[in-house]
Amino acid sequence: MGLKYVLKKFGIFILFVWAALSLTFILVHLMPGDPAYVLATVYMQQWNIKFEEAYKMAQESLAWDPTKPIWIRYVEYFANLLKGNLGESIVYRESINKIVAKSIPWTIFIGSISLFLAYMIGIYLGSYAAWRRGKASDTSIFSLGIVLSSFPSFVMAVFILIFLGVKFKLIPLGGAYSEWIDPGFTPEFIGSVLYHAIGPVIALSAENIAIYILGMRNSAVSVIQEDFVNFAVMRGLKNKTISRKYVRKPAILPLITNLAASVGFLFGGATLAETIFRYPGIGYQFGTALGMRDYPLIVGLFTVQILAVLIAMFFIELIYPLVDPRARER
Amino acid sequence: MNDSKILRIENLSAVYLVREGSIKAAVDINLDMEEGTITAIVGESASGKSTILEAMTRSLPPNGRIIGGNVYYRRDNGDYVNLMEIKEEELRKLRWSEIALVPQAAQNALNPTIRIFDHFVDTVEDHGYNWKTKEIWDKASNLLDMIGLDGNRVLRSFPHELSGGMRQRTLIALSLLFDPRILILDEPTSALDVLTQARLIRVLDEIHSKLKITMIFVTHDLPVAAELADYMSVIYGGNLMERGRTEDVIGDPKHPYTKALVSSLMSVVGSIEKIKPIPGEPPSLLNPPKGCVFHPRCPFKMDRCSKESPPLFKIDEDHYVRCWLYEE
Amino acid sequence: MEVSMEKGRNKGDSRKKLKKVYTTYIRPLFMNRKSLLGLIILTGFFIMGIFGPLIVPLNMESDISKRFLPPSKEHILGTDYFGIDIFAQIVHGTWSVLVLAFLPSIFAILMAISIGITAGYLKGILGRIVNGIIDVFMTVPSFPAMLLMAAMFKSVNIVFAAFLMSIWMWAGPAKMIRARVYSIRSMEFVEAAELLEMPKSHIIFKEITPHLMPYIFMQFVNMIKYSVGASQGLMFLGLLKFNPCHWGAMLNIAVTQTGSIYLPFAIHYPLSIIFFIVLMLIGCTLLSYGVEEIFNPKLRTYE
Repeated sequence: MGLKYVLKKFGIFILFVWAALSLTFILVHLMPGDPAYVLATVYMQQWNIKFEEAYKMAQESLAWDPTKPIWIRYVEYFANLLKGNLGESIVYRESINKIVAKSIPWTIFIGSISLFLAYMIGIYLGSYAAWRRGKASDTSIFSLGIVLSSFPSFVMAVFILIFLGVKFKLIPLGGAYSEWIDPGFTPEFIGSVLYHAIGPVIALSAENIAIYILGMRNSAVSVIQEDFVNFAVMRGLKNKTISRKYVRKPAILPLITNLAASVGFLFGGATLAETIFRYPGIGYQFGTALGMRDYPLIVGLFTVQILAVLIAMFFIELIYPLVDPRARER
Repeated sequence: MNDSKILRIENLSAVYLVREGSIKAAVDINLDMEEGTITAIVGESASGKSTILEAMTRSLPPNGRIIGGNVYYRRDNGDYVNLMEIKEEELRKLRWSEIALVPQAAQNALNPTIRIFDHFVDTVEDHGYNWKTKEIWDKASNLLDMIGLDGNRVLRSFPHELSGGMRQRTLIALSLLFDPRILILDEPTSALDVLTQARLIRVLDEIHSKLKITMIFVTHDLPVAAELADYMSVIYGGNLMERGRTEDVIGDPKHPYTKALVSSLMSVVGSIEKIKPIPGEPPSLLNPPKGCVFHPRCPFKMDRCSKESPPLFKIDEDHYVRCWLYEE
Repeated sequence: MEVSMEKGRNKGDSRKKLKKVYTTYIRPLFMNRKSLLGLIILTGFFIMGIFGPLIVPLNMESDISKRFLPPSKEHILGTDYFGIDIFAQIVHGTWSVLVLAFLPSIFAILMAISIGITAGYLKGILGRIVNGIIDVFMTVPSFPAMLLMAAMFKSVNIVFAAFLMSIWMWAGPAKMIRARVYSIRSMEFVEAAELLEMPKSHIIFKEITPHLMPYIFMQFVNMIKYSVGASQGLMFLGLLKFNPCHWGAMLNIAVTQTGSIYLPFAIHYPLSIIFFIVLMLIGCTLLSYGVEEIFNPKLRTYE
């Protein structure tokens, strides 16, 4: 894989970053809705002040001077981003960078575990079902997939919280770790972290596992009908070899390209699941920021999410030719 | 069991299940082959000839069903096994090591995610041979060279890096890996241009004379069949119409269909008026005509033909015809 | 494929066309087990949404003495924090849920079709730009984008909410449609039509679109499912609160505003809501997979 290929993909990546961020800018600054108005209503409720005062406060906090021409605001927007400055949160009066830095590790933690689980379980069960298509095990795995995929992350989160947390008291009801333990690399802390991660991870994974089960099953069913699988059977290859090298391997390929989309999907799910479990990840911050109309924080977190998805996409574009020989350029 | 027939197909019938009913693609097929001979199964497109190959090796697609018949294969030690009755695992061991079936349309027969060499390795390993990597490479390379390909280069490649003709020939090289006793080829020349076709025919001829393999191949190309095969079987509408030595079937065809087929061939120097296409259309295998399946188009049809399907009548040593005209 | 040069149509033609639409699209839905089950579930919800409010009265007056009553003959699913009957709320919210599922999908599929076909048909730089726009929309995570937009508006009505959602739903299907148009376009019969200098609209509608219909149908059904989930999420975070009986809004009240999930004796409240959400989603998923099996021959089993 040559340097030229990497550079080309990187160039496309930068282009996409620019386009996505511009789109965000358009959404935030050019939309008919008036953020200051909404923020003002929040202030009014919070501090019991009259609307005019609240509105003035809102305009000040937003630091988006509506009098400056659009293109200056556009340039400023990018200038800030390039400096790595996401701005300051209205509510916390903290640098958004700091907020991101302390919350994103938690999301990455539960996100990667759930993605990993989804992949492993989904791919194994999916190809198992495809191989025994039409038989009882296929129907049951497929039904499991359908049921699981009907539990979006927040539904699953509430469900688990109620059953495992409230009713049977098996998992903690919130937070990333027990408050009385000091953070550090102690076994107690790590244990507590893992214990508190159970709920959020299950909530996030359920839907993803279903997607991978069903996705892999469809992909594998398609692959099984390919000529090369039939030819493998005619060559007298063992079922184990065929299901591994001739079915699973080609069938996974379309799922890999979906990984980037999965990352985007995870953020959506994390927003809800983390809110329910009060798990201090970036989703929780996003959820609370939305509720309080903390616009700079909302936009900042949104930007981070976009960047994360784009980075994942870039990464996968680089890796994919390693996995699929047909994608290699000679 | 008697004599030196390496393969005896008796009353083999198979169908494909579709939404509208069942396609009777192979009806009561009776064939036998002597060791070391080349047999061509000839017929129009969709006449059911590939079905015979799939049925006899139990490699029908998911909607295919074998509804009757036996296929007796004589192993090295003289024992006969019925391919229709042996267990899956036994069949798997026989596959490729003794009976190799090279499919039609090699475009997709190779796994696009692994190299050509890996295909050889997989086949060797799953048949329990303990060959070392270098041995496999050498043997594979030699086979590819024999077919006219650059062994070392091909083995390193991925399937999508080879042309269609190269892939077809790779499949044939693969098929010879274990010196099988029977080599079955489904339309080996159909996807190739005339020149590559000629090359392939020569290769197949050489393989046969060098290795004395029993070969069966299916084709719609009568001249190719005539050139290569010792014996020919003519299939129409899923039924075996005539079979015998090539020179008998082509030189003195008995069945009306075979006669029409042979006379419809164009000679390179002959005049166009001499060609007579067969009037009518191929029969529906979903609802085949009652009686003899060819009777709607047959110039010699009798009353009986539309009521009863004729059995195979023996005309000569090795020459059989399925036609009421020859009831003796 | 028939190339009809006649502009007139007679009654027999349109009746034949309708019959064809029926046999190609509607009848298979009844024959496939999954889609049939999905349809039954969704039809049930439609009935509940349209006729339910007429049968089940809703009294939104708060009566704290009746707080968190467990399920009984009087209150099928019990009462919530305010003493209001849960089942009645669910029934009255059904229509909102359905509208917020179908409306965004309709908007989105129309957008996807027009942009997708345009992108697939345009050549050169214009085509690439449109394609690029589709890609950018695809990379932006849909749900967070919906949240962002929803947070910026003071009040929304249901149509506006649907439109807002649809902006982030059209991109994926548009890309698929574009890919299909692109491949169909290079097939011979389209080239033939082009050579015969048929008007472009004819080519698009009569030649290309019939091949697209199965995919469009599949995408539409998928969108419905996505909309159900997304709308619940949006309401759960308190962002589109125009109907307190929408199940997502109910969950918002249950979880964030009244903390009912932490009370063991009140679990019938959130659980009832979840039950219906999951049931509707199961219906959508079944329908979606059934449709996929119908139109994707590789997934069919021989039953």
